[in-house]
Amino acid sequence: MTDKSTEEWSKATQKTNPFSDFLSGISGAFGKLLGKPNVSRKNEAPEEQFAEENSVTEDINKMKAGIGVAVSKTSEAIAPIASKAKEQAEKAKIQAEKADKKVLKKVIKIFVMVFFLLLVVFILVGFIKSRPGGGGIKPSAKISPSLTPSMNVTPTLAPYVPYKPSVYVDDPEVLQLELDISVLERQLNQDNFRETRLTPPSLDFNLKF
Amino acid sequence: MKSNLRNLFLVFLLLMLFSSLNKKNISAQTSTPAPQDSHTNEDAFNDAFKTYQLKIEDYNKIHTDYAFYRAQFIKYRTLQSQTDAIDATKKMLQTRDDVVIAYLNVLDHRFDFTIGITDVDVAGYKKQLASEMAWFDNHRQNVESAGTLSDLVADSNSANKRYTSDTSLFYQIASDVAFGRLIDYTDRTKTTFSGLNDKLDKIRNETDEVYQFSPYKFQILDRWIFEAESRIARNDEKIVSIRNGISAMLKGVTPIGYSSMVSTLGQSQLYLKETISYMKEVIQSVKTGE
Repeated sequence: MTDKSTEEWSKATQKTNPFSDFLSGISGAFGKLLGKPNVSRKNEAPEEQFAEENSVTEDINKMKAGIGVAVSKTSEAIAPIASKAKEQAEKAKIQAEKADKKVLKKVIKIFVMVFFLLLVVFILVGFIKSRPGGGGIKPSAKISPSLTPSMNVTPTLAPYVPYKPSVYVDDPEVLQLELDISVLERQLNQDNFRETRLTPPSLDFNLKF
Repeated sequence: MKSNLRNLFLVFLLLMLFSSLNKKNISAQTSTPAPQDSHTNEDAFNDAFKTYQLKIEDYNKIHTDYAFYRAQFIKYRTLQSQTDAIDATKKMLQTRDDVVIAYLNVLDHRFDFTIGITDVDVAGYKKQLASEMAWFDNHRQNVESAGTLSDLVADSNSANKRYTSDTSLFYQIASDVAFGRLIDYTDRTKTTFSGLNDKLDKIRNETDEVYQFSPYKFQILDRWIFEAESRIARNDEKIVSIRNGISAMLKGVTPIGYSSMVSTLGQSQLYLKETISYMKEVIQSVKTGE
């Protein structure tokens, strides 16, 4: 061993390495479990220990460097693919939105068209019905839809019978009787037999002190 | 100067006299004969009714005062409150008697234009009403002499007794007045019906073919006549029951009893209306040719 290495060792021993401490701790714990005496590695030969640890750190460093290279290479390789995928996803999203808007517009158009069609049909039906005998549904057909056209009962006016006065139409006795009856009828209809103005007054007769 | 003034004054006076005389002459020339006295019995009744209503208004006001002083006396029992209560009670009792007298006067005037009631019945009612009016007038005067509240209570109780017994008379009069009208309607209906029957008999006995009706037409007419006759008979039954009811009213009647009487009168009225409608059918049929 050279002087430099001894100096480094002394520095290393002075500066306690946490990783080596951790490893020594774990090995100590295992030793205890197995019933071995807890012998610190510090008590071992310092040269051997230093060489061993130095090689481990070197391996770790190498591994780290390797991993870093691999990661950088893979990231370089993946980057264009990822950007492409991202672009495609954005495009697909925009397209889907456009498609949704188109469908909505179509649905609204269909609804508006159907509404206007119904309105036109309704107006036409109303107009046809309002026409006198213009193809409207007849009330008789409404009442009895089961009747066949030949069985339809059409209302007919009562035959006009002209008033034929008798020889007694101007008879004074008959006219007098008619007048008496009409006067009597009017008076009788107007009369209310309850004499409201003759109802006795309600007075306080309950005098107490 | 003085003589001028005197002359002016005289001229002015003469002018005034002249103008007043002229006015009198003009009015004498243009005056129309005085309107005839159109104060009918019904108007007299209306006047009596108005007076009665005014008396009721007075009574309501005075009764409010009486209630106040009575409450004051019951609460404080002081000499002053007692004096106030006596005065208020006296006033109230006298106004109450005035209301009863005014009401009796209304009833009395109602008989002046009733129909269907015999003169004997009217005279009997009027006599009773006059007697009651005299009693309440006497009672009114006696109230003034009362010196204590207990005297006033006694006076009030006597008036109460009298008024309660008179209530039957009041309702009997109201029923009889309406019944009189019903009797009048019934009589007129019967007279018209009799005239109609006579006319139909005349037509039936006609020998001239132009004035004759066919047997078929007479069948229809007889049908209407039969219906009218049956309604008149029903009405007669009702009249008997109403008459009995009015006679029973003297024993005592309540407002419900009076309402029941009015209801029976209405039923009778309905029968008369039906009779009239059948008679109208007969007339219409007679006026229409075959």
